[in-house]
Amino acid sequence: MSKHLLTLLFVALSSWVFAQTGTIKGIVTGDDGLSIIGGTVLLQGTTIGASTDFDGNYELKGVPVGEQTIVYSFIGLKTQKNKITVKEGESTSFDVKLSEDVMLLDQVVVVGYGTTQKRDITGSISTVKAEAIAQSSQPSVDEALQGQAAGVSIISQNGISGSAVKINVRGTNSIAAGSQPLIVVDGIPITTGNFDPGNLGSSSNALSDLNPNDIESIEVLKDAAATAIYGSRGANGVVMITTKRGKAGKSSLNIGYSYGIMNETNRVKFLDASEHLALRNRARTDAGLAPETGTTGVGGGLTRAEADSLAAKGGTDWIDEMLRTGGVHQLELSASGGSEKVRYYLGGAYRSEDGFLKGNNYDRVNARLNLDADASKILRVGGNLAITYTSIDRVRTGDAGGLGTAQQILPYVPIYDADGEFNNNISNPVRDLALQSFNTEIIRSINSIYTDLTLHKNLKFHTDFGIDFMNQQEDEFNFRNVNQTGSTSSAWDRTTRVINWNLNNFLTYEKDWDSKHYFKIMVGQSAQRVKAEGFGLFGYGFPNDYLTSPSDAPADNQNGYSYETGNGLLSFFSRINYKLKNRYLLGISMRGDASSRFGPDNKWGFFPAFSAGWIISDEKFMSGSKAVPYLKLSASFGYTGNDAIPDFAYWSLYSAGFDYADSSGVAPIQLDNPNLKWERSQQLDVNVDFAFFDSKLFGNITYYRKTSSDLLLFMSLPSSSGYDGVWQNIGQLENWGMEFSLTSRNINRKFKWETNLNLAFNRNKVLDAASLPPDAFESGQPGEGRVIEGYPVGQAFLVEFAGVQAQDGQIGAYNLDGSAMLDGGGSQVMYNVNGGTELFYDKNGNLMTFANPTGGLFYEHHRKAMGSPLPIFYGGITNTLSYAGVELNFMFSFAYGNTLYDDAAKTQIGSWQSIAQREEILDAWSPENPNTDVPGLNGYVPVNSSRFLYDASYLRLRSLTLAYNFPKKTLSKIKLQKLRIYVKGGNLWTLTAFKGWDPEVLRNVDPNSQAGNVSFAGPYLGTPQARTISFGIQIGL
Amino acid sequence: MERMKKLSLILSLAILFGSCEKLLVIDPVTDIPADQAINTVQDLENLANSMYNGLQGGSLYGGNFQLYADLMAEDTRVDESRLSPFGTLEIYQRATTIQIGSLRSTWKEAYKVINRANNIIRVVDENLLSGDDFEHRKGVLKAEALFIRALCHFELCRFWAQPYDVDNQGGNGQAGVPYRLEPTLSFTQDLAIARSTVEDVYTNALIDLNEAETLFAAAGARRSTHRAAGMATNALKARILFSKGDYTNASAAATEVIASNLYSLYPSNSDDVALLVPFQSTGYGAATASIFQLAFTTYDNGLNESYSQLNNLPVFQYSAADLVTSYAPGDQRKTKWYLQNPINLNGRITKYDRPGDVFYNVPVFRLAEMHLIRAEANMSPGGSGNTTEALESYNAIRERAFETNFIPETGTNQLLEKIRLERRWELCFENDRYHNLRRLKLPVRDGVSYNDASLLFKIPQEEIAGNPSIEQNP
Repeated sequence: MSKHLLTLLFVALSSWVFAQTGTIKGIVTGDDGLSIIGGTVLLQGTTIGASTDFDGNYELKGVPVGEQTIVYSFIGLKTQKNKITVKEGESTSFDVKLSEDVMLLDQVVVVGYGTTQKRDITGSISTVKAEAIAQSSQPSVDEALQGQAAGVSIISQNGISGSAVKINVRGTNSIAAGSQPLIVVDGIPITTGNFDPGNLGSSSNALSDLNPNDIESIEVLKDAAATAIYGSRGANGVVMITTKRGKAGKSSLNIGYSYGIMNETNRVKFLDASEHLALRNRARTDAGLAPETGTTGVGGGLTRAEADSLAAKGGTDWIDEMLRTGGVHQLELSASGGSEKVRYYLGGAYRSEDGFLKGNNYDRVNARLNLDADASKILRVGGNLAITYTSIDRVRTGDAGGLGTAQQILPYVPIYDADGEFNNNISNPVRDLALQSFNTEIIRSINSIYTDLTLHKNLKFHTDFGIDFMNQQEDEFNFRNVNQTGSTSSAWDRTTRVINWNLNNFLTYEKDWDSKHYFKIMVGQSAQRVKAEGFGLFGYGFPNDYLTSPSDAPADNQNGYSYETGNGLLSFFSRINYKLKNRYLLGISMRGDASSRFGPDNKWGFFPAFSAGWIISDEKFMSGSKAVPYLKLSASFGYTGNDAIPDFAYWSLYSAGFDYADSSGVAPIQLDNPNLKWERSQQLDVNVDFAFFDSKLFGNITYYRKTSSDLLLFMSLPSSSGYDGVWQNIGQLENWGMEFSLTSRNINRKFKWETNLNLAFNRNKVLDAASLPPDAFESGQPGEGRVIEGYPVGQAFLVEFAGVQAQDGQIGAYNLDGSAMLDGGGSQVMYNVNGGTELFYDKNGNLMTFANPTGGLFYEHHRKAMGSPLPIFYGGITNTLSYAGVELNFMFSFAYGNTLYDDAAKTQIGSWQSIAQREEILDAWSPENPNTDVPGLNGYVPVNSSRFLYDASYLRLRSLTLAYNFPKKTLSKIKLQKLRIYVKGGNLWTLTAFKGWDPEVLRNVDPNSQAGNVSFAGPYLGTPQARTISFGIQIGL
Repeated sequence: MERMKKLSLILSLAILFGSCEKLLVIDPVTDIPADQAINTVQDLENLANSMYNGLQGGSLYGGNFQLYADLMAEDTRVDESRLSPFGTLEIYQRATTIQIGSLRSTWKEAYKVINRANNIIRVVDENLLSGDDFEHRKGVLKAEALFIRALCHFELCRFWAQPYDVDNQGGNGQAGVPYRLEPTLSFTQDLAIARSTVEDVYTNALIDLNEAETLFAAAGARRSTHRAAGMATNALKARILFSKGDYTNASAAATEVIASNLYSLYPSNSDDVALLVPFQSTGYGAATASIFQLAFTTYDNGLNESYSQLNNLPVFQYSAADLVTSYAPGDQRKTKWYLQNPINLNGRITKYDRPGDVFYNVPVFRLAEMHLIRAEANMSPGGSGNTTEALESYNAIRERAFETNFIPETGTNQLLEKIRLERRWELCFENDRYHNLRRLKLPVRDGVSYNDASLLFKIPQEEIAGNPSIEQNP
């Protein structure tokens, strides 16, 4: 074999050295007649090429004599191949006019382990380019995807930089295992997730370490044909991120700076001090009592008289104390360029942010070097080196304190007491902000090296090795409250380290028989190993206020933990693509994966996929049609898997930590399941890609149906067995839906206007929950998501609210079977209900109250599935307008039909004795206001019901950029390539009926976990998103 | 050519490196694979320690048993605002559901402890270890496991099932709790076992205790400060026999403990207060009055949350007015175990108070209870009728309670009633009053009948979901 290769190589080399050659030159222009700068001219099948210069001129030297095929290409234009006859020693002239590739069909799309041209794709892949990513004001890459790719739902937990983001491709695909897609950066599946063991009311996101400015494009692989090549990890979709690389030719240097201000998107209005005190009096008058006397306790350790005088001075706006106008500076540098031999991309960024939560700061430094070198005609090597340093000062929020606590404090409670010290009668968030510090430092480095070896004209070998290294250090210190006896200082130091190495090898054979047949086969193998370790040390009661390190605390006051976990993956894969007459497409792929997470009886999984496509518009009967210039039909079917199960779930384990009387104790904690394996997903996809009206309107419609089975569920065992349960693969759910993406080039003259719309409809249904009751998956209050057969994952399961009793009266009692409850005399038992009492529907639709539930049990008998955690449809619409250097780009993202369960509202509308009240309480029932949905002020008991299940549909102006690009004339005077000034905004305007902080919110749980799948739509004391306005300048040299 | 060779070498190395099968076998680091967990006697000792660790947790003797008993009975006044919905509130209102968190914890923890015990019994019965150390210790370890297995099932049965009808010896067919005799080794075992009858639970518990007694005796392990031993077995037997109304045998078991002279109602250190000693022993100090106590070396004693003022607002803020005022004048228990509120005469419970950073042990069996069992058993219908012993025990308790001004009782007039009153005064807040009322078929709080179905806790959700053979309480 090697002898054969050697010979071929020798022949190739020798023909290059000894053949006769000539030159080709000319001008390359575009549709509009303007010359193309930096276009590529290539002798097909070789690396003999040239770039066009400032005026579009090119000169291709060293072309062998005879008829040669020369390929002309440029981004955004249709690649052209021309046959040119070359004579020895002579220069042949050939001018080329390239027409616009409106649909970017010739664009190269990154698929797993290789690339394909967009027109040859038979699967569902959404591409988002750098320009679209640059519109986002969010610091994290995944947030930039929102509204850009059909079928990809992106919800960020809150507006805190670096906080968790939930990405779902075509719905939630799992119940108990992770449902987040695989993220691949330059071929390496990177570490993702929340590595924050401290509880601050907000989770973290490992993707926020990437510099969005370094990204060339993001491809989201959605269907089986595209994702099956990632086998046991493709079931949730794959997000492929490709970073920028240098190109031969003129080098470029770009510098950008921007400054912006940040605020919260919304502030929920609460009653202020005097309004709240007036409410207290109203409660008395509603009950027919005289107003409060000055000595009555009103909470917070205050009497009415004290509260009144504080209210006269304005009271306290606790929420305002927790918020501020934040600011963010960003500096970006990038340089790229190179020669035929070596090409580089150098990128750097510095972001310094004061967030809108007081005390929250986020600083990040990124540096990247991407190199490609052609060591010889057959060998290309290269690598990516990227390092990120992030330092975050975190603050408590949500259910852990900060803003979450502030929004509950009675508005007349003062921050400081009479002596000017912090008020200690309440859990004082302003005091806590002053006394607590929590700093996280993250060092992240994603590096890889690769080799591309051309063994033969059509045979290439690629190998790459990458390491994703993350080290996170958290220093938490809580300073003692000097004015509170018994208060001590405490400190936590935590370290987490994750090392993830990855090796990929694959061989690709590609042959094109003159556009009649095209055949490509790729065979490969990969290995990955992840190791995560962490430990923490805790200490309290320091001997001196100067000390903050846990080991300085007395030995008896120290505690710690350590953990280590890891997993490994070994895979083999192959893909075949065949194209007949450039319009009939066929694809087959197959992958075999073995993972350390799978039980010994099920180590290997196999994941095949098939796809086919037909470019109808290339058929003779349609060719050249102006009305329908492009029409493609494709379909795919295949199997993928989800291996995001716990690392050691199949083992039978004992654990330490059950100590007694200073002797160690060990007890069994987990039963084994040697059959444990990946979750399996089967998906059918049908696509139509089209272009109408001379490509003025083009887009794609997709229908998909995805069934996930063998879902990992923690099957209950009778707890009298000593175990709560055991992991088994038995659940089943399905997602099906449609995606639409449409681009309309409304006006394309000097004034350009283009609209992009993407829309997704997804239906999610749990088919089999193994007869587990909904509460087996609970993660909190009844409204906060359950798993119910026949409903989507995360369905709210609540008693239905029926209204408020308008006047004192009576309600009939019923039995659980729906019949009226009769007394001895045969007439219905009636019970008294005061005006202002909350009424609910029992399971049969009869009225009942919380004090008198039908059948005696309120929650147990009468909950039903209500609302919908997932929207009926969601998507984004982007408009880009440009004229003479001025550019306006704005994007609306929207979701319609989803509901959120706001548990905080249960006490924030009703428990006025101890909690700050939202404005809705002013509409509370009273004898003068009998027709309302807010119960009376007296005798209120917080009850979980559909009253707090709110419609969270929204339309949001997600990004808006107004920019001015200085014209070439001005630029050449000041010797610059590019000068752009802009003003940019994020989350500027929102239309929603949701009265909480923000309709875009997640519960504070790790999105890649069961809690993340099931209770995401039940936020508790959520924090709003960030609204940003920034000004910036970009200079290109 | 050289280059080609080098390149193909890189190629093959790359592929080889990547195919390492070692990648796929990753052992857990922070937990022990089950087949490597119990290999030596030390491992078995560790497993035994984990049983006690479970018992002392807040779900069992570290708080919940005492808490439930007092929520259901009338020894204290409960501050309803201190009760949590989906928790203590529903227990107090006798309206439990399958979802109550603390009940689920109690049930699960108890059965986890039982499973650990069963694993120890299996290792001993099947001789899975070898060596001199093992031969030496296996008897005691198995006995401890049997004791704990009996104890846990008995306690669960007292809360989740109807009480043993003392007038129907041998015929108590009402549903009890599943009596687990086998460890769970694989989920493919048939784990769905039905509830044993109350009769069977008691019978099995007594069988276990008898075997434990033999094993302890053979090993000469009569007494231990903080682990099960021969005397503790007798104490538990006494309690179980008394609970089922087998008064003759109950008295005999209690007498074994009393007559052993290993325990005394009075502390060895005369500076300690006799009435407080069982509740204020620390570390594994031999509290002479405790037959079996759970040693706490860190703060995980949930009793303070429920009873003591240390947390500002415990659940039980006052003892019931009738209990506090019913103590006879001069009864030191009133001053040592209560802090009387001078304004409204309600006593705040101080039995479980602890200063600052001190961690007190929790007594599970103490000598006073043995005296009370002997006294009442002898005088109850069907008992031995031995009034001498009964008076001896009754007076011992009272002497300790009255210190000075003690006049021993000599007559037998209404002695049974007096003994019963004494029991209430002595064993208040120690997981006894509620069960005692049910044994005597007296109404519990609010006039609710002792066998009312609403008193029974609902069997938790996980058991119902995973066990189709189990029958839920009405």
